Amino acid sequence: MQAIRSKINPLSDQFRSNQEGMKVLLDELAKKMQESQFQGQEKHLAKARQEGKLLARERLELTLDQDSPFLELLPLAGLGGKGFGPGGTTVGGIGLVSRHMCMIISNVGTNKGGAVDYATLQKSLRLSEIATENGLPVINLVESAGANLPEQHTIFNYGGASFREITRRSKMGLCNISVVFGNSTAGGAYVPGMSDYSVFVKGKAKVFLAGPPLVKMATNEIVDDETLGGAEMHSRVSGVADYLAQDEYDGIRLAREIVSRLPQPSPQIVPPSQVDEPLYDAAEILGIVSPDIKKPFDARELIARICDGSRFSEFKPEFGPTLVCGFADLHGYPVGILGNNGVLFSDAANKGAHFIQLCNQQNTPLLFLQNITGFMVGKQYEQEGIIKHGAKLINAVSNSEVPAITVMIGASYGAGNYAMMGRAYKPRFLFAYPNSKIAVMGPEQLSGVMETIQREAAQKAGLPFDEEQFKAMQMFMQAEVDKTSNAWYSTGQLWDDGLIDPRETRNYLGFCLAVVNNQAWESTGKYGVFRM
Amino acid sequence: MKTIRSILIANRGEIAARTIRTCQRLGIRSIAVYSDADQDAPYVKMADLALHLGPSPAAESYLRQDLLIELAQSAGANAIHPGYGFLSENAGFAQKVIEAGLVFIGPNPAAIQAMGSKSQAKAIMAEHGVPVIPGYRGEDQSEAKLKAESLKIGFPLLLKAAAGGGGKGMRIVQQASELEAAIAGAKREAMSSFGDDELLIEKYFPSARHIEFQIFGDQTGNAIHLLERECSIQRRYQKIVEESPSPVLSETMRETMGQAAVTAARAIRYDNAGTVEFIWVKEGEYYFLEVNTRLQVEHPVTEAITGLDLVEWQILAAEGKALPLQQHEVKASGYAIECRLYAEDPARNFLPATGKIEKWNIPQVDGLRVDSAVETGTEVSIFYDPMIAKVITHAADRASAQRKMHYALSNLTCVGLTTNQSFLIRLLENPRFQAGEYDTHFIQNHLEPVAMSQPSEAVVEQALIASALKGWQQRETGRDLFKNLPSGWRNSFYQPQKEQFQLGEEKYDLAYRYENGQFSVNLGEKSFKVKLLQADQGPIRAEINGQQQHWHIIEKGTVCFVQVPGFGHLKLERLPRHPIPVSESAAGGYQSPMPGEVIMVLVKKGDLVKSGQSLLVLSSMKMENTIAANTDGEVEEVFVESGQRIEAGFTLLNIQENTQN
Repeated sequence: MQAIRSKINPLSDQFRSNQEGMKVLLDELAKKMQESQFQGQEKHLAKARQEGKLLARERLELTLDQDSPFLELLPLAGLGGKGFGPGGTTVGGIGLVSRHMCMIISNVGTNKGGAVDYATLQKSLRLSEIATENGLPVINLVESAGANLPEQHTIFNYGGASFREITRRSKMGLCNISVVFGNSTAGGAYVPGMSDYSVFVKGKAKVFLAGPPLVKMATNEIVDDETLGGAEMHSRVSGVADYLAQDEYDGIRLAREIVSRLPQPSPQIVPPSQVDEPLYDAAEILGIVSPDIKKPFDARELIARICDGSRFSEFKPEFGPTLVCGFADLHGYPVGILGNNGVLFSDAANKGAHFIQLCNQQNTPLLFLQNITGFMVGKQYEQEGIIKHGAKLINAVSNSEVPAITVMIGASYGAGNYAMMGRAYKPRFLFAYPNSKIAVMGPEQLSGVMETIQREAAQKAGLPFDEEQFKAMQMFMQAEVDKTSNAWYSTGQLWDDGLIDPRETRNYLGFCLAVVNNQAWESTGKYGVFRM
Repeated sequence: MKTIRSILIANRGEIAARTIRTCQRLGIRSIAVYSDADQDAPYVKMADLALHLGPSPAAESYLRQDLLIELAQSAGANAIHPGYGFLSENAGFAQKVIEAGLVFIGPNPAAIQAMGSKSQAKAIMAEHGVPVIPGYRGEDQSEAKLKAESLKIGFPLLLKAAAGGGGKGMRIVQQASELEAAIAGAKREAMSSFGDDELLIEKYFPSARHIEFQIFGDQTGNAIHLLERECSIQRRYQKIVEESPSPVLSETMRETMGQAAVTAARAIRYDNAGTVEFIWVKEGEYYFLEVNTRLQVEHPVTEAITGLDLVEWQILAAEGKALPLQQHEVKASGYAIECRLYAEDPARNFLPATGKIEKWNIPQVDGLRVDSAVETGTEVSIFYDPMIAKVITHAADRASAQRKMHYALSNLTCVGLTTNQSFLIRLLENPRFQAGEYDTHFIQNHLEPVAMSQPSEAVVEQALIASALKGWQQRETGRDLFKNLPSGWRNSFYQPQKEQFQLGEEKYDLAYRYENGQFSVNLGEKSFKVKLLQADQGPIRAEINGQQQHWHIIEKGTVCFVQVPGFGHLKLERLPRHPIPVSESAAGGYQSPMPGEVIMVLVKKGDLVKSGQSLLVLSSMKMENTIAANTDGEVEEVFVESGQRIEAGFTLLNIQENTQN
């Protein structure tokens, strides 16, 4: 395999201006990530410390093997929303526990008592989905007041899936472990209740369907916390707890001990332990990708900075050149890459569909580097059947059975989002650069289209077109689209699994490839009918 | 004359190894004997033939006289070398060896016998004009007689129980006015301790040095001395540093005392290697102490300055040959010093330690001699003397020999168990020691073994960082998932990785971050930039704040033994990230302070005991240790019986504290 030869000039004005623009976005990202670290008001933290409690992130760190890498997922879920702030009241991600890859989900009990807002629920569901798809045992570090009652109507229905998924994973042979550090009431009680293993921390865990006030209301019975749902009661009497931990450290130790006894899945690929670093500096990615998504860049320049030895075996380089396809290794894992180098044309779509079939035949995971403003439009293209060609690509993307990872590195507009494994196509992981934009189309096009439609409508109705009013509406529309299509908004909506610093792309992908390759798969290579 | 062709060495450890080396040089077949504990000892492997004696306790192995003789005969040895300790000064054994038709490589039994009794030895020496310590020992124990004798001896003087030992019934009397009360007190104590109130009186020297002369005699009646050894640096009445020549001995005194030593040798028809020990009080004042009728532990310093092989001389004297040199031909060249490396804890009153030597390495230094009993992997057990090695340096002058010794000890690797290495290094740095200004109470009066064994802040920092790196490296090589991701990679802001260590009672928190092949390490308020350069094999090599260093680290479970060049080694306990909660150690439980053997159990279940009452007696490496009750109470349970071997920390018995009063 040949190494890509970079044509980037770090001294060019374009490079520098990209770099400056990206730095601004990265500073913003760092600020928001910092906000997501919030674990509650100082008085709540102090109280927890006083009670000998660890904070959610400390529990998580202690659960991990020392020096284990850890990929925090959906850290900015809920960003910009009305809920409990970016990340919600849960911290989750993947790391090593007793040398097993595990999903760890830790409730932030010190922030709003760990109550679940809408974003937190959605985050939990997505974390659960990631665990299920990737065959990961789940460790729940539980301390939560349950649903945030004022918004219970947005939570209650979908919340049920949290419990369903626990037992479905168990059915698949994936272990669920709950360590209960504090409150785990009502619905929350089913987290340990549904788990394969439950560990309760003595004197701290309180697990009941209804707490003493509700019991009093319901049956007039007067009972204290400890008798109703304490760790010792559940360990000795009810059997809801399997292990009685002496303290938090002991609880975490027990969870780690349980994991150490789990079987290891048989991996698809065991990568070599020594791999070549890319030939080019990852920091240069900031000068390559552009905060202005209208400025194109060569996807190969990014590939050269994320793949082992910058080596890339390109497929059909001369055909359909706006979609770069080819094979590479990343952290020793083989991967088939599809990257946009402009608008999708019919031949590019066909090439992509072909390439995805090859990867399925070879059981090679897919990596989509999404920077797409859409499919080409116009008479010529419609007549040559760009719809059916695009449909073939979407068919291949939809039915592909090898794990896929998508990174949004620029634009993600229209059907291009679909054809390049957007969120709805369920890639195993989806990350976005902070400069990325996502919408049905760009704000200018969108307002332009709106203008045309409204002018036509006015003409049809024989009404005068109110230029003033339209201008105001257009401004508003553009601003609205701008706001709802930027990366901050989309990550807040959980349209991705996290915004990433482009310089860390290789590590993110290496991590995710390690996760997807940790269990074996075999693609059947079946698709829907291809419209020829 | 009889040619010795094959020697059975009735000993073990470094002296056996040392004897074998001379045998090999002279073409003599060497036969080693060993107990169970010594089956893999280096000396056993060195010998031409090795014979099993029996179980580990010396009484069941190295002290079995008949078995030793029988083995020597059946293996075809025609001589037995007794080494030092064990049977080396046992006249009966020497006699039996001779009667069995074998050569005993040592003095004749009569000479051993004559020197065996201290009082008899003293009498013989006094008879030949050798100065002896003024004193009185006699049947007349009347107060008047004791007083009269005391006044004759002068002050200060020492009263001690004739039957005694261990300091009981001992009184130092500074002046005549104290005498009456002291005699009464000493008598009372002697009576209650030994059931016998007989006292003996000796002149007491508040400050004296221990200087001994190496003597040699042959069967033709020659006797010479091979100069002196200064052995005043002692702890627990045992020497740990010896040097030759003595820094205080004038040429006149050397002449006088040497002559006295030879006189002593002649007086008892001495015909092999021996040592005449003296107390040196000041220029012109010295007294005979005793004769050791064997090769001394510290003989290598004499060998270093004379260039002789004393074991070779022992052999030829035993063969009946004449000594190769005459007195005037004995010349000293340069200066030699010996330090004894012991498995012991200077910070805990030099209590013996046991354990496995996980790494043993001697630096390459010209003029360095190391007589060791060990190699990497050797176990220092509870059964024998805990001496690991003798380190001897030789140079042109005293300062150079000391400098070389300091360098050698600073770079000697002995990791895996507690030793006095750091203590010895610090001792060599002491200005008084360097100036030769010391007496037999030097360690007690001028040194602080606890403080000397304490590492400096920099040493602790190094050890902590090195141990953390070692652990990191092991985890890193063991990681089989995410192995191409940087250690501890995070996609968000996180706390650094943490490690906690314990050194003694002190806990240390270390935090580190691994980034771009470098570590940022935080220890308390301090931060370090650390580059790990090598850790996969051999010592760990790293750069800490720009300074490259290396350390040998041995890990045994959670314990890290870190060898820090220039200090010796320290023992760090890696504290678990998830400690298992332990119920508080049962109150009233008595634990063994060191590994050893239970000699006597003095109480039984149900006994009522008073605070201070002896409960049981432990023995470890020739040291006896009595465990006493620290409260009044009732013995709830006894978990050991006499003869049982126990590890340090073993619970011996429980006492239910009596809380009624």
